[in-house]
Amino acid sequence: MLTVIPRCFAAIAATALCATSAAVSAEGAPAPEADARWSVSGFGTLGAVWHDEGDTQFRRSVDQRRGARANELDFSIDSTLGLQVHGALTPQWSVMAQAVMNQGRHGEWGPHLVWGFVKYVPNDWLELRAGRLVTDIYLDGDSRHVGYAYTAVRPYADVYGRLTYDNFDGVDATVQHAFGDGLLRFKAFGGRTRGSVFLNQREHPVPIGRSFGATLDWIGAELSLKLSWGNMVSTRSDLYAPLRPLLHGVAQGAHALGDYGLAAQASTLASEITDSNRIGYLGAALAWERGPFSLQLMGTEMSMTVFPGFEGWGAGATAAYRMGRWKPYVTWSRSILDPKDRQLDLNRPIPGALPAALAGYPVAVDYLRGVYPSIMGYTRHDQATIGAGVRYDVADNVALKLQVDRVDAKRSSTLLDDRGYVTGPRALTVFSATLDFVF
Amino acid sequence: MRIPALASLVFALLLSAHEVVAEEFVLIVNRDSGISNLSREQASHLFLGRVKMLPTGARANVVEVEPLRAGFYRRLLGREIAEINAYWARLQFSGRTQPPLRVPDSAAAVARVAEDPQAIAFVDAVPEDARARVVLRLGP
Repeated sequence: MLTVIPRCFAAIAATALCATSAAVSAEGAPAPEADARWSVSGFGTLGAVWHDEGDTQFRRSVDQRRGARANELDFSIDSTLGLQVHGALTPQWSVMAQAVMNQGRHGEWGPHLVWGFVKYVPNDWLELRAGRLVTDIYLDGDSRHVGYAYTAVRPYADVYGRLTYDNFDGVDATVQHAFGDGLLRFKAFGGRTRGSVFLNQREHPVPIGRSFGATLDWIGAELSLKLSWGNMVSTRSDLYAPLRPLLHGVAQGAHALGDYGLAAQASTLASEITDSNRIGYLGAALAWERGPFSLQLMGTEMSMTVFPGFEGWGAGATAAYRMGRWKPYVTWSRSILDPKDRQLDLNRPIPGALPAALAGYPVAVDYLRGVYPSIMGYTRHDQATIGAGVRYDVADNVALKLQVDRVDAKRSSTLLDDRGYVTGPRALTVFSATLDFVF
Repeated sequence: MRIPALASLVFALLLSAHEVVAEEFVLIVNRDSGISNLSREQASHLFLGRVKMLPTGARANVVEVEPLRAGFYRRLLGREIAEINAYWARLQFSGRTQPPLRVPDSAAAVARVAEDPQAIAFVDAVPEDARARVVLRLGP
């Protein structure tokens, strides 16, 4: 801990300094001293989770190494601490850096830089940012870390739990204009992906990835609509590269034995393992608020061609009623993801007597028969959650939330068993309590 | 705690949630700002950080009076202050914009507006300072 905190500050300071010098050089002269205004702020969540479903770990996203186990009060799922430095250098130029500490992909609590950018706002209709940014896929503020900003305890784990590569280093540009009685806002973004693909308990860093996409928002007095589209493309994928020579061997062996169908399937799959490289989403969301009532609806189509890949959709809804400091709410979410349909018929009989050159063929086929269904199963996901809770705003900057969720998974890639592997059918009731704050 | 006492506490909390705000709020700008009036919609966009410029094109310096925030936002938007605070957390911690400057009372807000042609603030009475101009009234 003593070593990670200085790193956290160093990350923020480095970004802020970098941003400052960029702004100064772009202006051609230092910002007037009187105009520079610096502020330090932050946010955090102290969260506790409990359930009693045996051999099950409950996680909010797949980048969490461990989840809440049965009959253990777990504080690591939702707890977070964020620190932010903002500097208004001139009326047009500003810089911001934000580091967040939460349970990392290796179980550690080290800080990571979520935001770190220079912003230029020449007028009301244009905004440009460059640096460490977040893909704009969340309805409640471009981030999944600020619990105080959400009505419920956490973003829909069924839907957002798989989208863990939401950081990128690049630029975004936003233009907005009055439209009807609201504002129409269009944002385009692109840059180098920061994040990893997670399958089972393994992290697969995206070595050279690019993120790009766009959002279109209409923001009215009571109604807000959002369309978002995004992609993460990797120029190469090493996830299952070791399978490639194995598949090539099966392709050659099957071809030699006259099984041209399997030969073609194995050959195609071998090339897809290293060439398929896209993860994408296309989503729509609606938020409606009138007096004490609020309603949020969202849906997204998601796909990943990186082997073993998946295709599917997710949806979520939250309805709430504000009564002064109290805000009871109900939530629902569901997501279904299926592995991309790839034919590999390994069940055909293998001749008993094979020439010496094909001695390894049955071994390779046997091995693939064992691992291939498991690998394909990593991305299977059919999970629904229905929940109810209450938010109580203790003070102007502190909110207490109590929530109970019924999670029903036919198969899940966010839940883990006690050994750390994705689970089959599970149904569990999860009790959560969080204290969210900003400062 | 006995059940009647608990019920009373819950009832009191619920009642506090529905307190009535009777005072009038007025939006003021500097008399040299070039603005003579604002619509409710323009005020909403400014105080929610959706637009950052005054109608004249000058950058807006939005000022809030701390003790009046809850009543003002309930009057302007029909929303509780807890919702507004959560909303600002979304904007602030996603780098979109920073929250308005907060001052402790109406006098401080009037003084700020009197000195700053780009300032806009809400107060609970028409100010006597001639350097401040009322551009929108939000009556009960």
